[in-house]
Amino acid sequence: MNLEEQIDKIKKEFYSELERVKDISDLEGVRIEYLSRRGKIRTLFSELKNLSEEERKEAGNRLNTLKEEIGQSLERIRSALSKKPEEIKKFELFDFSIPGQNFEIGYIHPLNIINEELYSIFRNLNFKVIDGFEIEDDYHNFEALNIPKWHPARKMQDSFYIDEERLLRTHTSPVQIRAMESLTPPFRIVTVGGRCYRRDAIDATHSPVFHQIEGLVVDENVSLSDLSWTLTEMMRGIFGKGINVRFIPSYFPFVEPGAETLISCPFCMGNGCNICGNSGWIELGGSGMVHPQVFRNVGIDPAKFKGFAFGWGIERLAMIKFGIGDIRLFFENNVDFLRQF
Amino acid sequence: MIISYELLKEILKDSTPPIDELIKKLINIGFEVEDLTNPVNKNVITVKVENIEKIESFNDLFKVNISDNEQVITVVTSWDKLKVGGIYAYAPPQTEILGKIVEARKFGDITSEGMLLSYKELEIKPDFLSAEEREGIMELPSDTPVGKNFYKLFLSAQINLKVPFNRADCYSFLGILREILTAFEISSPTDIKNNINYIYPTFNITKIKRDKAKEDFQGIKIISKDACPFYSCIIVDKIKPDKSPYLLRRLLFSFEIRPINNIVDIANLVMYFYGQPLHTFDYNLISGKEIIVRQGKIGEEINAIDGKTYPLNEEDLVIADNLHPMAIAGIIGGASTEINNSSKAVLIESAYFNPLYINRTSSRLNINTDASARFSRGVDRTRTKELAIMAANLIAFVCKGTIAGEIYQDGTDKFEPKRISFYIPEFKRVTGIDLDRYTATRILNRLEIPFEIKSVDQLTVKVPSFRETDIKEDVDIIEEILRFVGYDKITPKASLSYIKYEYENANFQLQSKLRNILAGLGFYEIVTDTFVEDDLIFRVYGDNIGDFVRIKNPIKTGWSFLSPNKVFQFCDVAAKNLFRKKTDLKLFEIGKHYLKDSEDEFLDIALTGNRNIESWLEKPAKVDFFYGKGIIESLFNRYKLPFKERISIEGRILDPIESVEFYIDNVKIGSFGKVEKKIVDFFGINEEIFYGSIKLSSLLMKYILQSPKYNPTPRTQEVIRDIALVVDEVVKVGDVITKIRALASSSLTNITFFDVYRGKNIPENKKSIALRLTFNFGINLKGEQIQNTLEKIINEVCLTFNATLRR
Repeated sequence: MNLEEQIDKIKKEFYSELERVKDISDLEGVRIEYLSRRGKIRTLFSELKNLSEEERKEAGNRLNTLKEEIGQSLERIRSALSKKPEEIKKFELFDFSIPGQNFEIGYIHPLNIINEELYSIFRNLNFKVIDGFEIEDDYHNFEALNIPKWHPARKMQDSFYIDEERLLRTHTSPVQIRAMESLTPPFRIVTVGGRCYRRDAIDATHSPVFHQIEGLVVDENVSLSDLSWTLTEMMRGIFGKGINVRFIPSYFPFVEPGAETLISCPFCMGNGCNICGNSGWIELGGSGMVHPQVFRNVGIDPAKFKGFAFGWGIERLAMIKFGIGDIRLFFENNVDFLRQF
Repeated sequence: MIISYELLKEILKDSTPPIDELIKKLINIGFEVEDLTNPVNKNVITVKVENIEKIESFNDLFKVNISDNEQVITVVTSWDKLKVGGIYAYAPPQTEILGKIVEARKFGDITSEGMLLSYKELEIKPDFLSAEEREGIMELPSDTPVGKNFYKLFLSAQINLKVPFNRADCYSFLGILREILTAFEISSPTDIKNNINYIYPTFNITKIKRDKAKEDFQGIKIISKDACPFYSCIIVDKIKPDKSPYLLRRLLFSFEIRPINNIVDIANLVMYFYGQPLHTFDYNLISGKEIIVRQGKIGEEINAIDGKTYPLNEEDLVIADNLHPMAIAGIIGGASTEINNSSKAVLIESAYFNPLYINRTSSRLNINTDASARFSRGVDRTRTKELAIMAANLIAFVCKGTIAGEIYQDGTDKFEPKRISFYIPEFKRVTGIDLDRYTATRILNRLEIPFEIKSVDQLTVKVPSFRETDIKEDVDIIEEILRFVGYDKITPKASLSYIKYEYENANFQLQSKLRNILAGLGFYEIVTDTFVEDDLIFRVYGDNIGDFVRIKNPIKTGWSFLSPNKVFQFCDVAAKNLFRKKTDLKLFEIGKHYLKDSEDEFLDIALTGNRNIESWLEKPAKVDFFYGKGIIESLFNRYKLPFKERISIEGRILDPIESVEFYIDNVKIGSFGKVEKKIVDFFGINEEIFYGSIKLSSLLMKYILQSPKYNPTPRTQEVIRDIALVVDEVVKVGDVITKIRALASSSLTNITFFDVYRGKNIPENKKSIALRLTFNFGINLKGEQIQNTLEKIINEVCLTFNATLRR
């Protein structure tokens, strides 16, 4: 047994003996055993000389610490034992283990936990956070986004209409359109947690009401590489280090080239598990380079400026992050559910 | 779009990629794989029925001798519609069918060696079978090879692909094939664009009979040239509609097409193979023997082959004879000219319709067919004629009919390719990936997209007719090349140049602050739906719904209102939680209230049940009006909002007595109160619910987000004085407090109301209110100076409220 192990052993022994102490004379016995001239600590000190100078210094420090600790513990017990019997009685009768007065501290909804995280991530990436109206006109929700009337892609986003011209926005993209109409490039903007609506039947992964994060960067020279970088940073912010992003081609009328974005599965770190269907990747949503027609619609010169955009559901991110299998749980507001976040 | 792996193998032979590689590649070039059906590997054999004999000793049972071309086998069945000479699927003993092992069974002295199978026992999807095939033991086409494995003959691995909305060309087997050839760089037997013969070798078509043209046919007249730039048709005479033969039936399985009859089946196959929807009319049922392509007329309607009647108008395009519409062009055929068992001649239509018209009508009438899916995206207008001829040849061959005359046409199928200038370095600018001219031109060649080389790094691309609708500018060409260079080559790299400080979003900041305060106060944040039940709105607001927003097409009938406040949502959440015995609720939500002219953000809160956690130190107490109101006051006081309270005048969702409204400078900023019993009752709640709303207006933002200004903290001690005033019952404590505040100005640091007393020593209709005043004068005053100040205040208050000081 080396010195270090002996120190640990003595420490353990000391505390177990201390538990058996009932009165002052017991205590004195323990003191003599450990701290007297022939006590255990002294004996160990005498063994220091066999060590090299460096080891001696280190072990000496540790022994001194132990000696102090033992001394203080003995002193605490001594002062408790020397109290009058009625004081001791009071001491024994005070049950510190009774629960104190508890106050219920509330909970933040999981969707807003994600929103707050996203807000801070995009602030750190120097994005301007913007928001807009849920009741939109057909032009800003569809036409300006290169989805003219009777375009088949409108079927992808079945909408709730208020009248001929107004509808509940089907994505947060109209916010970006309005921003592009008023801002002068270059700019970076993002909408966090905007409420959107689609006339989808409700099931475990679809809800007519959902929320989106949508970002847009317009600059003279931005490419899919910048998109990839931005999304990688964002996803690492949400799911942690080591998350990677990849793309597969996908069609959205307002981006070209368009992509579906995938992240390496945060559950198996891309090795394949039942959550990612053994693929190692999880689909998150659309992204791509802003379609030149969209730029023309808002008066930005597509020859001079390029832009990238991405947008997907907060619910999807929350489901992956917290391991929630059913989107309906977010809107049921069962307190047992809410209490878990 | 279904891709049969077997069909692919027949065409690509040895170059066919393994199925898992194929799927991976398809995903990487943009085709979502929705489903993969693996081939069934079971010992099920096709057999021919030799003879059928009724078994005397068993009612309703038949002894059937079947042959697999090598031996005759006996089976016993109760199915009475078997035909001698008919071909069926047979499972010998030891085959597993629907999880059970088939065994030889004795019926008297007859042994049944296995069984004949129905579609269910064959485990075939019923959606793609005819009604007849779904009944009893499934009869197979009469020319099906006998003694072969049923599954190998008819079914194979199938990949169900989701085709992107813009890829009109890929709503066909050949379109997908072109993508596969490009992705795997397979040298194709011939280019796809000019080859229509993929379907022919399967049939070995010989000797198509030709006849002279039908004398009574009046030809085609396109009236709406904008909606239908080109229309062609061809007539096949002496046809005999019947079930499709084996080779066709097999292809129908490959594409999951429900069989109708050999005529319609061929038209469908041509559509799935080449992407051109064809329509077949019973020639003899066409009135006046004339094809008129025109817009619909108001009041006109059509009985379609789906059994429904559709009203037409001028926005629709129809194919009509001299009397009636025979089809909604490109969408659905009419019942009146549908091919039936006694049809003698067929007119095959092959046309190009303007996608806009198809989309508009199919959306309005809510009809989505295979044809409308293709026409609405745009078909290849240059191939209409050749595909009509091809279908005519196949029909003539399969039905032993004759082609009557030549193809008829009106309009033009000429296509002028759009020229797009593609500057190769632009690819890198958009994707961040280097691209050389060789790679670019190789991919374009394989995709059959023609181009001219203009300079070292400049191409002029000529958009082919089959990509007319989706390739419009250079970014479309960039995407095409990128798909095959590989999206995986995109690497994260930040070249973002500009940097500028962006200010906080004040709205988000305010919300975040409130969210954390409310959670700290023990509230649970909820997120609720936007829609409210109409019945509830009418019950609460009657006819006063002018300010509310309604949806024309709610997802649930009777849920058309957007929530004008959150009281209904909160009651719903409370009801659901109460039902689960969660009785103590403190809830909040930050969200919008929707009115005609505004969608403003609000903080809403609701409380019910106990206010505290019951413990040995604190007995439980119910939340009440003052507890809840105190939460809002505390929030306002925390940020020094100079708010005033007024009687609530809302009167519909809150109890008229136990409710209050909050104002700053006569602008309403919020309200709080007990929820009306009528509403609580609607949700079946037996508890009191308290509900409050605070508008997250710029006013609120100003106070909560403003940067605090430091005031020197007083070095003198506080002076506390308790007073009790006897006032009339109707005097409001709040008014007294406001008055005292005004009189004492800044030296009064706090005022609390701590008791109200009625009874002994207090006259009738009076009450005694006890207030604690805390002063800090900033200088040390003598006792009498303090007393003087206090008395001045008291005297003034007594005067104002007709009060007396209680000694």
